[in-house]
Amino acid sequence: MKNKRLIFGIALIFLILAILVGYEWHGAFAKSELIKQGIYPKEPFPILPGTPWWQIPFLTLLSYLEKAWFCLGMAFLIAGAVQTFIPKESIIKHLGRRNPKAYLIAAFGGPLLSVCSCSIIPLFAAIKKRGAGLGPAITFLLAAPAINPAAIILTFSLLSWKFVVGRIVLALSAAIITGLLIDRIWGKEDSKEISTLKVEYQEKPLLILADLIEWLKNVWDFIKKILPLVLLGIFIIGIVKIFLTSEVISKYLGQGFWQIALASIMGVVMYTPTLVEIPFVKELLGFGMGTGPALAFLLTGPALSLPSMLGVSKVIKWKIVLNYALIMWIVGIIGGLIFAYFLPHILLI
Amino acid sequence: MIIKILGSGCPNCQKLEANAKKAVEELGLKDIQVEHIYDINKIVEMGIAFTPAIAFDEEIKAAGRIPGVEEIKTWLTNQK
Repeated sequence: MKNKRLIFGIALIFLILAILVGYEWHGAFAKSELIKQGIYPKEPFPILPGTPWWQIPFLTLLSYLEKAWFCLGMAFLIAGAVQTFIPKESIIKHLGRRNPKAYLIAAFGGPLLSVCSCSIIPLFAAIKKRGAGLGPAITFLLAAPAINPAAIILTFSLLSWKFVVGRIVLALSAAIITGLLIDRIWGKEDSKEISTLKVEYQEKPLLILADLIEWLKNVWDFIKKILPLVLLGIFIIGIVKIFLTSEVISKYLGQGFWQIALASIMGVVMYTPTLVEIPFVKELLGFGMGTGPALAFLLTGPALSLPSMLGVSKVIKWKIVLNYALIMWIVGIIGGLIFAYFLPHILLI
Repeated sequence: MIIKILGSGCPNCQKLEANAKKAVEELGLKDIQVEHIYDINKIVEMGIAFTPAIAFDEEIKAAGRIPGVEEIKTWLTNQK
């Protein structure tokens, strides 16, 4: 049979996903049963009005570890499986010349391709210069970090499935719309130097034991690379929490147009390490952030940051970089408004 | 011949460079240079999409993964 290795990989990913969803739903069900009986589950690391300020970052970190360790573990297992079993070369190969299909593949394939932030920019340059052109390259650049599998899983676990749906639908549309617009505006002067990529894809046979070892090795690589940043990010959120008050957050980031616009631009400028955007938004929601600003931040936060724009500016002109940042900011606002319309309130337990 | 390491300077490419240097050293090949190319435009010109990548002159040996010292040694011995 063809593609045995790929099928094995996909089956493995689905198995892990099923375990995760089962675990999460069982937990949520047990919790709601308790609440029905009038028993409120105790927060194991509570932050009360009397808690000394210096303990807050540590308690925040512990509380997240307690809540998210299972889901984070599963997320790393899945990220490793994508890296090991999904042939990246074949995705790039299908990114043909400029046509509508290229945008869709860039948007949906991007999350499967992006494994390490430092390989995104070469890949972006390759798609632009030797593959599908500027538009799909921008789509890839914006979609890849915004909806990678690990981020989706953590969103599901810490926020809710509604945020997952909103994030996937709106992030993909935002990336495609921005790519199309940029190609409209700048594509012409940019299309002269397109040639083809030398991408060779050899199907690998399935060697279960060796492949499983490679998978675990990749999982370990991800943990080493990503986990320290995530922990540091949550710790910093804990520090920020000391200074936040509900009044400030609901005034500047509560529901409303200007609040969405502010959250969207925060996402454009701020550097948020991958996955950290989710606990960040969760905390702010607890302080009274509106759902619209929350989603706007989730749209622009991972997709854009000053360091990534600096990297991209080595490949395309600064004018184009500023232009796509501007479009993405506006699309982020629109996304936030749409989400706030469909989901005006949310209660996180 | 020149061994080219292509990558923007992240830990993965550094590791590949170290592996290549070690392979050359262990085989005692004094006339082979290891060169690290950081420039993204040059990397793309060679037709590479996935970094880190390793090439012998213009011939791409591997892209998107980190070949081990032994693997690079095999290529070097077959090259002769």
